[in-house]
Order: sequence, then C-alpha cells, then structure tokens
Amino acid sequence: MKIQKYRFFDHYIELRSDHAETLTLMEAMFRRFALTEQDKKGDKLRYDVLTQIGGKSGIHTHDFCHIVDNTSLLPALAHGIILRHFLAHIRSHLLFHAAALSHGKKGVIIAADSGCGKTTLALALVRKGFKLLSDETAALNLSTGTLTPYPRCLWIRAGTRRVFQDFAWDFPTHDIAIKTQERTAIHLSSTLMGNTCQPFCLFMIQRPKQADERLCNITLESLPQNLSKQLQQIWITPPTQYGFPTFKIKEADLNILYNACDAQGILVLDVNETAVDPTYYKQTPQITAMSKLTAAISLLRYFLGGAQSVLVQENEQGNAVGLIQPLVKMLKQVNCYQLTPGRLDHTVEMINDLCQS
Amino acid sequence: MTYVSRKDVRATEVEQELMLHDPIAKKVYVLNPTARVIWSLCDGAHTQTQMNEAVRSHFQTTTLDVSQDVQNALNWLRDYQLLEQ
Repeated sequence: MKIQKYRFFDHYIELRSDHAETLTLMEAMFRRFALTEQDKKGDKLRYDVLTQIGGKSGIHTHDFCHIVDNTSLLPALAHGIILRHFLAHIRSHLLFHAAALSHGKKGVIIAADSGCGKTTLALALVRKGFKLLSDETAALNLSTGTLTPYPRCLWIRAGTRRVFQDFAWDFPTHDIAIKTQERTAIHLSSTLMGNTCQPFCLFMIQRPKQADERLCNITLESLPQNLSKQLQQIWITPPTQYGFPTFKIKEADLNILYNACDAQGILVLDVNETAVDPTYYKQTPQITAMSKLTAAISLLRYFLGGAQSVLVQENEQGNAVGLIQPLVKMLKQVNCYQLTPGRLDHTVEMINDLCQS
Repeated sequence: MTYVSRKDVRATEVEQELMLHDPIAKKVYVLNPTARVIWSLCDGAHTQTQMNEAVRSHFQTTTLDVSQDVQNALNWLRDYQLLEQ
C-alpha cells in the first residue's frame, strides 16, 4: 500500500492504493502538485484505490464506492473518478476547460472544445515566449480574480506533432512522462512554466461549422435498460452487442449523455472525439470583440465543476446561472474576443500582438 | 395591443446589456441595448407604436428601421416565450 498526496487549490488529496499502475499514472500526471509537509492547509479528500476486494478492484471516496470488474481499466477510471470528484469540491476557484498562459504579468485564457487545437496553440505560444499555466484547465481565483497555474502534464496527439513538423518547429523543452499508442504525456521544462497572474485576454475559439456535426465514439461501463431508453434519442449507431457498450453520438449531445449517465451512476469510460479537419487551420485567423456578458456565458459552457460542483449547489439560484455575475466581475478588466483560428503562425502573431498592447 | 413580460423571468443588468434567465426553460438570453429598452416597455402599458417612439427617442434616431427592429424584438421575445400569453 502506498500513499501519494497532492494539493489542488483549496483542497489536498490523499491517494491510497495497492495498484502500481494507478499510482504511476497519477504520479506522472500530477507530480507538480505533490504536497509538501508544510502545505497541508485546506480540506482533505481521501481516495482509496484497492485491488483486493473479493477478487475485484474498487475506488472509494467518503461518499461513494465504485467496484471495477476489469483491473486493467483501474488507472483510467480512478483518474477520471477522482478528478471529477475533487473538481466538484473546489470552492476557491472557477475551473474551465481552457488553456492558460502568461505573457509577462498578463494572463491569457483560450477556451475551445476538445480537438480544436488548444494544446497545439498553447505550445506554439510557448515557443513564441509565453509561459504555460495549463493546456487544459484555466483556474480563476474567486477572491482575487487571478489566474492560477494548473501544471498537469500535457497530452500530445499525433496531430500536434504533425503541425509542428509542417512548420519545422521544435517542441519546447520537455520530458516524457507517459507514452501510449495514441498520445504522449509530457512535462515542459520548469523554465517554461508560468506563475499566478492577472488575466488580460480571453479568447473563445470559434467552432468550425462542421464541428456541430462532429461525432464522438462513446464507451460506457454498462447500459441498463433505463439508460438505454434515454440514450436512444441521441445515438447515431446502436451500441455494440459485445464487450463494453460503444456507440456514436453527435458532440453537441455530450451533455445529455453525461447528465443521463450521472443520474444513473454509470461511468463513461471513453469519449473519443474526431479532431477538427486540418483545412480549418489554413485560413486567415480573425478576432471579434465580445461583451463581458457574452464572454462569461460562453466561458461557462466550459466550467469543469459540473452540476455537482459545490459552487453550483450552494449558490442562491442553485444552478450555474449564479456563477455568471461573479464571472463577469472577474472579466471586467479582461479583453474578450471570439477567435476564428487559421494558420497557426498567424494566429500566434495575432495573439502576441494583442498581448503587447 | 400591449405586451407583458413574464414575472418569473429574472433580469440582471451587466454593463450595457441585460441578461434574462428563464428558470422554467433553464436558459439565459442576452438582450442588446435596443431589445433592453423594448423589454422595459413590456409592462402592459405601452403599445408597439409607443415602443417605436420610445426607441427613436432613446437612441436619438430618425431611421425608418426602428419599427422593424421593434417588431423583430417582440417576435423574438414571443418565440422564446418570455412574454405572458
């Protein structure tokens, strides 16, 4: 049995596990969050990931237990469950599925759907001289409005490597944490990582029109009848009859899927989105200014805490709408833009120029 | 004919825009400055003609398109069921 501890904003988590692969994955991804003895402030969340439970494996928190039949899935499931659980408990920050960087003391947030090029753009900006806070989680401190680093490893897909090769660019200095067939997890050199800063620009990446019809391959751990009835309205192809239920849905229906599965306690094992057509990135990039209110509502779409977040459950309206005004307040001094990306080098220059002003 | 906004729809001012939250449909809407004026006149006391005049006066414009803008805004509010039936 081994214990690993990590600090995430106003909480720290204690992971206890006898499963080496789970511990290795978590260590590889979150090593920059490792807790020091002096840093045990905040609320503690404990997670047990154990393999010797009546011949099966299980993931336990203080409020639920999930039994896993197939131990080979344990690392990915543990990561997914633990992440969603502690994100919902964070009170100090609003967390968004977005890249965050700094240019001097100015913070930059880039929000986009998966597969739209956030990581590629973030790495290209680092190459230009920006510092990275995160390629996938922008954390806004609710008290100070500052952007806090979330230095998890970056997961690099083949598409990102291809784009850099096309431009004959080297990757920023990094070391490899994990390598799989589809992706590679890297940590950038600490000299390329940024610190807490005040947000200066927010870019909402415009989805290409064809993305409205982008499909996702979904894999669930099981498909009980009640859930099947709910999901029939959205699946494009019916589920496979063998192994884990797998089917296709439109990307636009992902929220319906997550809500239905959450309600019935069924895990979504995998969501595999098709990447955006590369020709989308051959055009000229364009930006349009956005009002603070429109930007706040658009950004809320990427809120990571979900409906179970304490920030949603405990606000006076009991829903995410109660987060809009605090978010607008935090964006008061932030220049907000809708960005239609194009050629990567031109997009980088455009963002760089805006941050110089 | 006059128009009345639904009482359960929450209106929140944010800079020059107004955010409407429909708790039943669970949707939020953003009204631009013109639609915001029209929404404020959906009080059961203003006809569409009076709204046209109010918008002209508010934005100090003599453009003939005002009545079309007002009509479009009212259609939009009706389509999204933000007005009393």
